[in-house]
Amino acid sequence: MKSVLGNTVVGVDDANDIGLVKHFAVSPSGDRIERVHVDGRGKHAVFVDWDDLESFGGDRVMVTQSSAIAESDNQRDGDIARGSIDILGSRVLDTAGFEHGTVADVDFDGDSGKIESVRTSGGDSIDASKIRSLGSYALVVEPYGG
Amino acid sequence: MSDQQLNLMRASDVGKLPVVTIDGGEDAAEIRDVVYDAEHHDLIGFTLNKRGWFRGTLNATLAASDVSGIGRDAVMVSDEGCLKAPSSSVAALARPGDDLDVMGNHVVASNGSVIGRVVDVIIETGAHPRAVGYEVETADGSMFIPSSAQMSISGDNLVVPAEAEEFFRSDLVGFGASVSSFRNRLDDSATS
Repeated sequence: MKSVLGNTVVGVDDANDIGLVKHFAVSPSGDRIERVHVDGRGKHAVFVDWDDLESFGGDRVMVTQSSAIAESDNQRDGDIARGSIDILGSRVLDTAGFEHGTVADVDFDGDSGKIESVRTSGGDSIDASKIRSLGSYALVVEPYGG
Repeated sequence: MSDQQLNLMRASDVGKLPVVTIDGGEDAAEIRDVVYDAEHHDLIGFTLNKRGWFRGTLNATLAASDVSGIGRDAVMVSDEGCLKAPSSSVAALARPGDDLDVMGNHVVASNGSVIGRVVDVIIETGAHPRAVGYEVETADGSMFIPSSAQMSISGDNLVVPAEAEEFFRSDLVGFGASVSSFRNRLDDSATS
């Protein structure tokens, strides 16, 4: 995930640069990327839904149509655009109340946006099946022995 | 039951820990005080503070039975519904401080000698937190003693039964196994 941050987002239909990959809007349950924050701040932050992405793996992130980007009035999206909910760098906390560093990087399926695993600052790899939620305080995971 | 190692914390170390929701990853509150029933040596729950810039007393409490886990870094609850208004909490949580206070009590052995003073309550952490003993300040440093229904308390003195004395420990790590052994002894006594 980290390697895609800052990549240019381009519309397939008109070849225009739409913005940059600024943040990933990961679902509250922490299981998938729902949207990508590509431009603007605060109430004027604009997002593109994962389903409107054409491809994710190359040097550019391709969007089916430039018109697919839109502002969001969702409170969580606002928090994501402000960076107060961000899976990258999030504190990792297990359901028993013990911290395991922070999220160093995330592996995800480029087609579906499904989170596959999380790597921590301590070098642990946590399978996505252990993730319980992502909020402004922590990525909550089941105890994994790390 | 084997003499398993328990994970223990001082009640004073639980104070200031964030209360975090498992379903949302949000810090819903912060522990202000541990509410403890000294007469029954029982952990009742916690009073709470708000989190964030405008900290202060939160008009809600957390019952020990609603805790999913207490760890070194956080108290975990399933969701914000676990934080309940004092009016819907058990009486001891709604009016903390009504009961006997164990802090500062003299700890007296069954032979009449004063061992020291209670300075903290020891909590078994995990999914079913409960009070398991006391930290006692003695002339030689800290001593950890297991709690039991056989202890009597007045608000001035905590009298320790003779059968508990062999389970006193001077370090918290060793005390975990000691509490487990003590429970086994009590269970054996109850069934014999």
